[in-house]
Amino acid sequence: MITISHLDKHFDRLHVLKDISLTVQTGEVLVLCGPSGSGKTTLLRTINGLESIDKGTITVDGKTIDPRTSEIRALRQGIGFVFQQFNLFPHLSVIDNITLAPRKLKGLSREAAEAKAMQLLDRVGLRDKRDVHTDTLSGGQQQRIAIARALAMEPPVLLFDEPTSALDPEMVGEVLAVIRELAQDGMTMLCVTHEMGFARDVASRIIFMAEGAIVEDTTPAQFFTAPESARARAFLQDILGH
Amino acid sequence: MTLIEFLSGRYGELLLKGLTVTLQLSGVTLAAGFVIGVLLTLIRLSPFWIVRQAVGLLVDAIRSVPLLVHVIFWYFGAPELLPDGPRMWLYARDVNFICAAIAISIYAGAFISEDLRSGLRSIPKGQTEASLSLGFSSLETFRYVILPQAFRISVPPLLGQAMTITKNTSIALMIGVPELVYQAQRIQDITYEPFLPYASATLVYLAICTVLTLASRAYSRTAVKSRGAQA
Amino acid sequence: MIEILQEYWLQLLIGGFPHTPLGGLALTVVLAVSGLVLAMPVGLLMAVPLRSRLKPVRALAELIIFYIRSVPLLLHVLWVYFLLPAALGVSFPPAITMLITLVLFNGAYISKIVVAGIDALPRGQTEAAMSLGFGRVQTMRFVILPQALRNMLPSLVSQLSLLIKETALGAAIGATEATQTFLDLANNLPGQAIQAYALLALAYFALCYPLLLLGRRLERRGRRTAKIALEPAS
Repeated sequence: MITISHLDKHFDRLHVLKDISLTVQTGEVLVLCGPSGSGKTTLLRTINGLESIDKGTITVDGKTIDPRTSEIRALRQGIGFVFQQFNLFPHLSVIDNITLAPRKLKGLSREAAEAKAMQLLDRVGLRDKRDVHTDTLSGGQQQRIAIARALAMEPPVLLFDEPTSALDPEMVGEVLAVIRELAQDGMTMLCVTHEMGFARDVASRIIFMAEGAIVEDTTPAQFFTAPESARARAFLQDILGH
Repeated sequence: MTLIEFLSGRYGELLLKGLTVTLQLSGVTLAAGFVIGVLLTLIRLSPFWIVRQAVGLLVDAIRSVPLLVHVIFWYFGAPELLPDGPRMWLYARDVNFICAAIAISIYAGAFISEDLRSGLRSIPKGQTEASLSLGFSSLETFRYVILPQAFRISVPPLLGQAMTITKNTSIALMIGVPELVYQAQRIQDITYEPFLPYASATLVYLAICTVLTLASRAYSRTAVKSRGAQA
Repeated sequence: MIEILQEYWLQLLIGGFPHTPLGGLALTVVLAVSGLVLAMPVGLLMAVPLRSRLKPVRALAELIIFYIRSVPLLLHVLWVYFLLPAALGVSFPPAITMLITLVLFNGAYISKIVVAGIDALPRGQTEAAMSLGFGRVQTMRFVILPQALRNMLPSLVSQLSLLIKETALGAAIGATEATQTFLDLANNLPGQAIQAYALLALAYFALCYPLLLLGRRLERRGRRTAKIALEPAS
């Protein structure tokens, strides 16, 4: 459902993405990992049109992602994005954060949008936070609301940009549990993360990137037991500490 | 003569007239200054570099010149530039008040636009990205996500501007607008006694600023409380 | 405009000096700079009760500053102009009256800047100095104030440009600073008044705009160094 071919991108003189090609099928869960500065977050952001690209194409369900066109807005509605820093809207309550896009973009009535939002709040285990202001929530709770907000548009695919990196260690679990459940329900997902235990359990494929290129594209079993490249071995050694 | 005796006579009446003019001038310039401030801020969001720079320079230039000089320019200078018709129209009206209002509004507008802009800039980039990622357009993002937050942030500085504007209207006395300090001066000219009229004017400003300060505090408190209480 | 400048530049620059006291733009600059220099110690002094441990002292200091900030500068000028001579029995020339007012008025604002500069420092600074055995005053003198003053620099630059603009109110009591000088000139040049006023505005712009830019640059640099200092070494 996502096809990326020969993607190239520079930040000024820095070559951040080098000839990236990648295909994602419906229902797949891809974990993107690699050392910092390897381009994985940038790659994820290009799929949502949050970053422009220099060369190559990205298509989602056969439609081309191009941030310069006005179709990008319609396409983004079908591609959920969860940020490292949550980016909840602080001027809105929890329920309004979730219903804003369905009401304004899909024209849902307030009742319909709120009914749907309550289901999502149930799903992320935060039903009782409905009318709370977002800045009173813990980081883990904010991220779960952010996931609910992305799900409210019923996107066929969800992108996660280091969803647990800004969290205190004791809150990582609750967010990963929500993502894990989504994976079990068959949601197509791409997730940039350093949580290797989670990657091993949930991913159907591991994309290992370094210096702007995809170095390995393989199964978790293969990646964690017998990585092919020296770079991946060094990365795993660093991150797993053995 | 005590302050009470002083105020209960015709001097009290003069001061009350002065206060009315001060409040009228403050109200008009606050409203007009806000509109000018919003317009300048919107233009400064233009995608064109040259437009942003030009308006930025204009705002800085307005802020670099004393309000008194603005007032003098608009009262003594600008009407000369008008064609005869509009100039006669202007002089048939309360030209002092109108020119003072124009000068103070423009001056205030420049400061208000700075407040609004720093309010806008204090909103993290992630807010725009989150909104775009949901499928909102730039305009919708501005309307639903950025603007409400910017206004909320800007309320305390705007109340501060209201205070500054009220004080600034006193400068209009230099072109003969009969506001509060003007009336105090006039009473002094009659009585040769400066203390009571100036003390009265001072008390009025203290009262106005107290009200605005309390309003600002109440706003910050409710803003905090409305979030705290629902947790 | 050029003609006015060619004809009257010396008068606009220094007034009737040396036949009369210094006037014109020079008086504006002298008033603003000496006003700031004198307002700094006043501001520091006023900051002491603002940070007192005794609540009534703090409240009184806050009240005085609230008073100064709530009343229009023009009214302060008139108070000093009419009532100081009455109270002291001596009268001052308008320029000195203006200077006294500017020092007191800006002292109040600067005291707030000082307090903000001190409060912006991490608590660890005081604690570190105390742990070395410094007393309260020594901590303030050797550790806190030097840092706070550096933080205050951008605000002080902005304050100077505010002072330049405030000196224009000298015209209300006949101090022959720039605005009064130009007003006098415009009276003698019927038909060319608007050019004189445009020139006056330009003169203030030339004085204040560079300060505005400098203040902005210093603030940016301050934010950058503060960020570097706060980022953990990784």
